[in-house]
Amino acid sequence: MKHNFLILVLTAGALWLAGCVASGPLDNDDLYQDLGGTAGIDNMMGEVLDVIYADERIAFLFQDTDRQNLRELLVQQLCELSGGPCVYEGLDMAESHSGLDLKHSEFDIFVEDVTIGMENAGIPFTVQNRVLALYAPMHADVLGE
Amino acid sequence: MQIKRALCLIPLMLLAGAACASGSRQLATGGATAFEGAAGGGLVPWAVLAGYAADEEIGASAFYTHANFDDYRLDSYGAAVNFRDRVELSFARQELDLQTLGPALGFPGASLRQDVLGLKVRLYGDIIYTAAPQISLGVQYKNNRTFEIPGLVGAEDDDGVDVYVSAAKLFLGAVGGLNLFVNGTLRYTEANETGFLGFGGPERSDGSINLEAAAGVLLTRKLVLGAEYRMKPRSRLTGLPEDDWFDIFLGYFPSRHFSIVAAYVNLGEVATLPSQDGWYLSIEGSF
Repeated sequence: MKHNFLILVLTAGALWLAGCVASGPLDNDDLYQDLGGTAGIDNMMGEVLDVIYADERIAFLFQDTDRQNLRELLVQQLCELSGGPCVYEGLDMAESHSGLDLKHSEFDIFVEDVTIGMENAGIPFTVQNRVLALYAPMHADVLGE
Repeated sequence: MQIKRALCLIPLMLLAGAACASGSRQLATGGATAFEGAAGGGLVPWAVLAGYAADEEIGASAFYTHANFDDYRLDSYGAAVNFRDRVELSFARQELDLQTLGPALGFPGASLRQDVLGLKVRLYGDIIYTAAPQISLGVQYKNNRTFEIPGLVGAEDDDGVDVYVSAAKLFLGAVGGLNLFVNGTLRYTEANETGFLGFGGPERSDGSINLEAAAGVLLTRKLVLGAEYRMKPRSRLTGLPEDDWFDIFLGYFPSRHFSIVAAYVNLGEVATLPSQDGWYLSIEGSF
C-alpha cells in the first residue's frame, strides 16, 4: 500500500510520455533498408494496391485515382518516411483527403489491407509494425479531424 | 447449474459470430472481457471498448470465464454492446463458489453471487491512431445477490458503485518491432473483494482509490502476452484483509469473432484463506 503513490506517479509519467510520440520521417534509414530500399517498397505497394483494389469495401474510393500515379506517390511517401533518399512530392494528407468524408471504418479497412499487402510481399511482422507506426499518426488528417 | 446455463451461450456466440459481420477496428483492439464484464483483460477493465465497432458501427460481444483457485472457483458470464466506439454497455453475472469456506461456515455448497451492470464512455483518443492515449470513463453498478454471508462479516450494503478512469495506448513496433500495449486504470470503490463480500464496513467509512494496470506485447497479430495488476483497498471488514491481485495472460485472437484468454492469476489472501492462485480461462465471441 505504501508504494501506491509511487506506482501512481510512475504510471501517470509513462502515460504522459506516451503522448509525446513523434511523427514524421525517421532520422535513420534502418527501416528503409529493412523494407529492401525503394525497390522493396515499390514491390510492397504493388501488393498493397492489389489487396485494396480487390476489396469492395474501399476499392470504390480509388476508382477515379490513377493507380500507377498513386503507387508512385505511396512509394515516395513511405521511402521518405522510412528514412530513405526520397522526397514526397504529393499533396499532404489533409489536402489529398479533404472533401472525401471518409469513415473511420474505411481507414481501419485500409490499414488492414496494407498489412495484408505487406504480408503478401513477405515483409516480416516486426517490420510491418514499424511501417504502421508511420501511417497511424495520419489518421486525423485523412479523416479531416 | 449456472455453469451449464453459461455453456449454452457458447455455441450461440459462435453461431452469431460466424453469421454476422463484425466491426472494422483492428484485431485485438477490443481486448477481451474482464471478469466484471467490461472490455479489458482478466482482472482489469481497459480504456478500449468491447468488440470491433468503429465510429459508424454497432457491435456486441458475449463472454464466459472460469477460474479455479485453491479454495474458490469463479464463474462469470455476460455480454456487452458497443455503440459507435463511444459507449459500452455491459452486464456480467458472477458466481464465486466457496468450496472450503462454505462447509466450514456450515453452508455446504454456498456461493457468493453478484451482478455487474457496466457503462463505459470513450472520452478521448484512439488506442492506435492518436499520439495521446485513449481515455475512457467507466461506471459499474454491482448488486450482491447473496448478502447473508457478507452481512454476517460486517458489510453494510448489498450494492455499490465503482467509478474508474482508464488510459490505454498501443506503441506500434516499440519493442524490437513488436507492438507494446499499456493500460492504466484508477478506480474508486467501496466494495469488499470487488463486491463479493458486499460494500462498506466497520473498519473505514471512506471510499478508496486504487490503481490497476495492464501491459502486453503482441507476439503476432493474433497472440498477446501480458500481465495485469489490480491494487485492492485497505479492508473495510474486520479481520478480512485484502491482497493486491495480479495475473499473467496469453490471449489468442484468431478472428474478430472469437478470442480466448488463458491466465495464471494470483489473488493472495481472500477471506482468511491465504495464497489463492490458479488458472483462468475466458472465451469471447463478438459480432
